Amino acid sequence: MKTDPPSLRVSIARHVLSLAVGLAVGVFLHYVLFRLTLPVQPFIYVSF
Amino acid sequence: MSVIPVLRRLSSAIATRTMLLGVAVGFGGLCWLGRITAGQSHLTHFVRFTEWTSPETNYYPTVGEMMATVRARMQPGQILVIVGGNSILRGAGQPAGQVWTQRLQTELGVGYGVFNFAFDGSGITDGGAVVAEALRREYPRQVYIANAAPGQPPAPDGTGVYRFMFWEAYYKGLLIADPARAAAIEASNENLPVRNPPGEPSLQELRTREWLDQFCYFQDLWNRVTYKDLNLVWGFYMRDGLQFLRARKRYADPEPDSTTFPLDKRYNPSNLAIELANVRGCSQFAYMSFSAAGNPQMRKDASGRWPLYRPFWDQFVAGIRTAMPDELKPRTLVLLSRSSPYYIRRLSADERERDDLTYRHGVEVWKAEGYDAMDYGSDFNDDDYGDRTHLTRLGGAKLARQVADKVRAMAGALHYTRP
Repeated sequence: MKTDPPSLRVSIARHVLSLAVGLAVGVFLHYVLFRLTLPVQPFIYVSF
Repeated sequence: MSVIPVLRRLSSAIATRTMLLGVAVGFGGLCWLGRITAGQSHLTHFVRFTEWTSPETNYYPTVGEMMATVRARMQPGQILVIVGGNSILRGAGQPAGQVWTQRLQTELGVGYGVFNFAFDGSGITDGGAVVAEALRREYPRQVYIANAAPGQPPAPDGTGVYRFMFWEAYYKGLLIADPARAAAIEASNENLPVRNPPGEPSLQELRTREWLDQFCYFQDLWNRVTYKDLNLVWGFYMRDGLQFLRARKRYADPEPDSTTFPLDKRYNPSNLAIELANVRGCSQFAYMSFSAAGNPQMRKDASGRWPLYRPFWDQFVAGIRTAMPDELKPRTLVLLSRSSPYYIRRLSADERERDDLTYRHGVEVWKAEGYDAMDYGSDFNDDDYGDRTHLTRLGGAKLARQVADKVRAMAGALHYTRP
């Protein structure tokens, strides 16, 4: 059975886009995990 | 066209399962990359931590990156010397190129590899101690050096903002399972609201972060990006505008040379009273007694001696006993940092005697508990100090000579070197 070529191209493009969005979200989540777990207030050192 | 329909069309174009696969691959890939990163040294030309590589600017160095720095620089056959402790041993007031640990490396020679992992305000059990413990099997011939005030018991899981290092190493299985230390940590963390200064994460938050990091390695990965490529963490003192995006490695070590400061800046007359109170504070609770009415008496007893205040020292002994596993104590050198003679000579004769007694007794107590210890500064002069407590490059050079002698003696006693 032959697949309609334009439909296949659209399907591939859709999956590539989805994978790229997913990868970007995954990278962002990893950074967010790092950034959100850092202390909020700055540490200001004062010597005594 | 409004935004909502566009988003609807975009979302309809997304294949949900493929996108979720992408999320898993992206997130999991960075976890794997972080794990690889943790084993690689990115702190190029490392001499010491500066404000650009410390929590003062939101950079939290990981135990992994410090271990990788050691592995990258250690030569076969060298004895590992790790310096921890606070800003005094970090070399505050000593410019780049004239840090006391560089002098220590020169004094000790090629048989030793010296690493300065001290941080401003950190204690004996912080970063350097954790790294040395984590490397105990890889580099069994090691000496760990840190400084302390006499009679100051260390926190078993680290101090304030630096506690994250202990818990990072703990969850990554790098530390010795020591029941005595575990019990001390549990006891010391009973009153968490008091132990955590405002702005610092609670212990539960901190432990959650480090628990997650054992799987995700987000600290190692993003620290590396921040240091080498693009500063992704804004911090106080950073440049304004987009300048702050400059990679941390491009920031120079900003430490000034405190010998260039005029004496009235190093020993500011307007701070004299408070600095003398700090100097007295080192010893006034170590030697005291109570009257029959229960009032504290900070003076010599009838026999003309300063009375040792037992509860103070008992609490101290209990603290240092559990601060480290027993097997690590003999290779630990505790330095008790004396104050500048500029202030010591302004004490009364009795106060000077009490100050001296406290340091000498402090050394004895550390040694009695299995550590090695020495005090320094009694033969230093005003020029050796940049303020009450920090050493200039001149004082740093003197300290390096004294510590080198001590480290060589320890290496002999610990059978690191052949007779």
